[in-house]
Amino acid sequence: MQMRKVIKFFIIIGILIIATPVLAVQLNLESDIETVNVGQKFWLNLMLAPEGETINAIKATVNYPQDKLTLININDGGSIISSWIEVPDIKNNQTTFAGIIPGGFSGVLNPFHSEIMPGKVISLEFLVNKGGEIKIDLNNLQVLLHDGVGTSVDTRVMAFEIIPTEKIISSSPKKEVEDLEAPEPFTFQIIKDESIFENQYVLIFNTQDKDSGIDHYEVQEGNLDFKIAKSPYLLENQYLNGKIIVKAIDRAGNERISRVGPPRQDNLLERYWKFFIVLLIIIMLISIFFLKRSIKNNEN
Amino acid sequence: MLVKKGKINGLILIIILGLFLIYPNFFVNADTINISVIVHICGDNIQESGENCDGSDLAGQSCIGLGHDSGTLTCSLDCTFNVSQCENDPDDPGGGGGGGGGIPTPVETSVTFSGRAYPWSEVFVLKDSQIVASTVAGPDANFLVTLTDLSAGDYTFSLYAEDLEDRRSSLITFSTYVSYGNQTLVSGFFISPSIDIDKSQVKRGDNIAIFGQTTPESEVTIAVNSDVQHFKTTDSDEDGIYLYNFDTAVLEMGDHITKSKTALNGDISNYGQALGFIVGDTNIIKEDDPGSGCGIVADVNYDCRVNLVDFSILAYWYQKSSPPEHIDLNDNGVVNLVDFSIMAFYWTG
Repeated sequence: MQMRKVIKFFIIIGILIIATPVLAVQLNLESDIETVNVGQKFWLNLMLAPEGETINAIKATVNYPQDKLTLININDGGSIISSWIEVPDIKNNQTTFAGIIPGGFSGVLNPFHSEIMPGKVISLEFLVNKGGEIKIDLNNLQVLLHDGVGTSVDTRVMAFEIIPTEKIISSSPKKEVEDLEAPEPFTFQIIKDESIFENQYVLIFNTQDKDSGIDHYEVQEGNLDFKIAKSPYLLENQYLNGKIIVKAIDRAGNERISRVGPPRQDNLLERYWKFFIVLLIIIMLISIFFLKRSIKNNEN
Repeated sequence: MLVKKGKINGLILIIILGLFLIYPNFFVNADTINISVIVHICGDNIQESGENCDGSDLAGQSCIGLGHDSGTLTCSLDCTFNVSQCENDPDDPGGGGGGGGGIPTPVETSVTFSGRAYPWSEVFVLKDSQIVASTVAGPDANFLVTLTDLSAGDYTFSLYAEDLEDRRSSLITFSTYVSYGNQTLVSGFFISPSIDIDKSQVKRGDNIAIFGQTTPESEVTIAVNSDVQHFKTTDSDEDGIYLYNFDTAVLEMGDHITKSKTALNGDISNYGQALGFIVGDTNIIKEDDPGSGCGIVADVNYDCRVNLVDFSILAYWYQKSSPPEHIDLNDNGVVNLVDFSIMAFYWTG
């Protein structure tokens, strides 16, 4: 009887040792501030610590008390996400984002640290509107493994909590680092595919900005005005006989331009074939008219 | 006795349930890719592998140690020895050299990658998922490639190799911090072998040829997944070519996959791409389906690559109803994050 109890005890201990999660994938909302006052702004970083896993896709909504905080700025500069499916943007005072890391993310190797470091997903700037306990958390979270089938992985979220003080803090606000660098050089592609836009020509583009992140892209076709664009972008000029310029603009206003001359030489016959056919018919009708009149005159 | 047996079964069930609750992915056969690379910085005053010296750390070397007669050895900004202040005795016939000096050139922010691929293979470097550089490995399969003109910040780099028959290795991906004005050296890459098979279906009991390219004269382990996993080893030749004729008598009828990895001088690569084949009643020679590009999963425009174009096509159908069959990668009727995760796994840049 005593022996059985001992065996049971060791089995339970064994299960606990085996089953205790070593480390789970973590998403941490971190800030270097310890106190904040009403009326002040602060930055929050969302960091992904894969803890031994390899992650390649992530989607989440940032959840915060909208009466106490206003989300005023987002920075995806230096993000581990290289291709955004849903670009992090402020819509209805909240943000949802989704993106992938081709090849997977297992942590940042940093020569100055022996351990593998977490990677930044996005940074968020908030303005404190009123006092009271504040909790910033993530909703609708999906973190997927780099396993070829998109297996969902359990993720521990470390929410950010703070109670703003009403009194004015004497310390001067942290000076933000100025972004003077343009987005990274890039090229764009002109493709057409039966799966999208009814097989019409579209532009494909993407680049990164390591400081403030990409704010938006603009496209200019020929001498038309620049238009705000998103890849894939349906070209207005399907004849491709005008120059194309794509501009990437970061959140600090720096620009990087990529351009090509007219991808195709202007083919007037191809462009105005309907006009040429109408013209041909008119010429033929006029010719027939004069021919008939000439025959008639000869007969008379 | 029966009660005891029932209790034991109950206990086993509890253990399994406990494991399943705590590790939901316990029974998922998810291959994780581990990378083992070394990152060094030129400029941190610590001489590391790939550097002659670093700042004040001369690795115990001196002018005399380098064959000069006297003088002061210094370290250049690119972490190579600067012998401009070393002196040689004019009477010494073995002397010479010296001179140089002048204004030091500013150091670029750069990252250098080195490691092993396959002899004469093309090695591609992806920066933040787009191809930015390539190089050709030497006859010993070693490669070295440098990226310059980088800003400081976190980068995700990936590498893969294309063998002499244009077969691609799986991607090695890692993220690292690049600091301004420093040369970051990332060494120790060991690219997994390329792999191919001669039959898409093999008659049970016949051989299936499993072959590819890797580092020369290394040991290749070939794994064939079945109810029981089979491991076979073979050696690559001086060109890195390996071939193993696997006897399928030990396999059950049905679907199987095979993959390979390489070991050389104590270093072991990860397993490379997995290829599927069927054990059946007849032999069918493996041929690429011309209607499906190169047969790469997630190559939705059939150009034999998985890159930004495929991503954009998928993004066009994101959360839209009734996507084309070939766009919906997991066949669940909608393009969502899982489809993008599958694409990210098969990315080639």
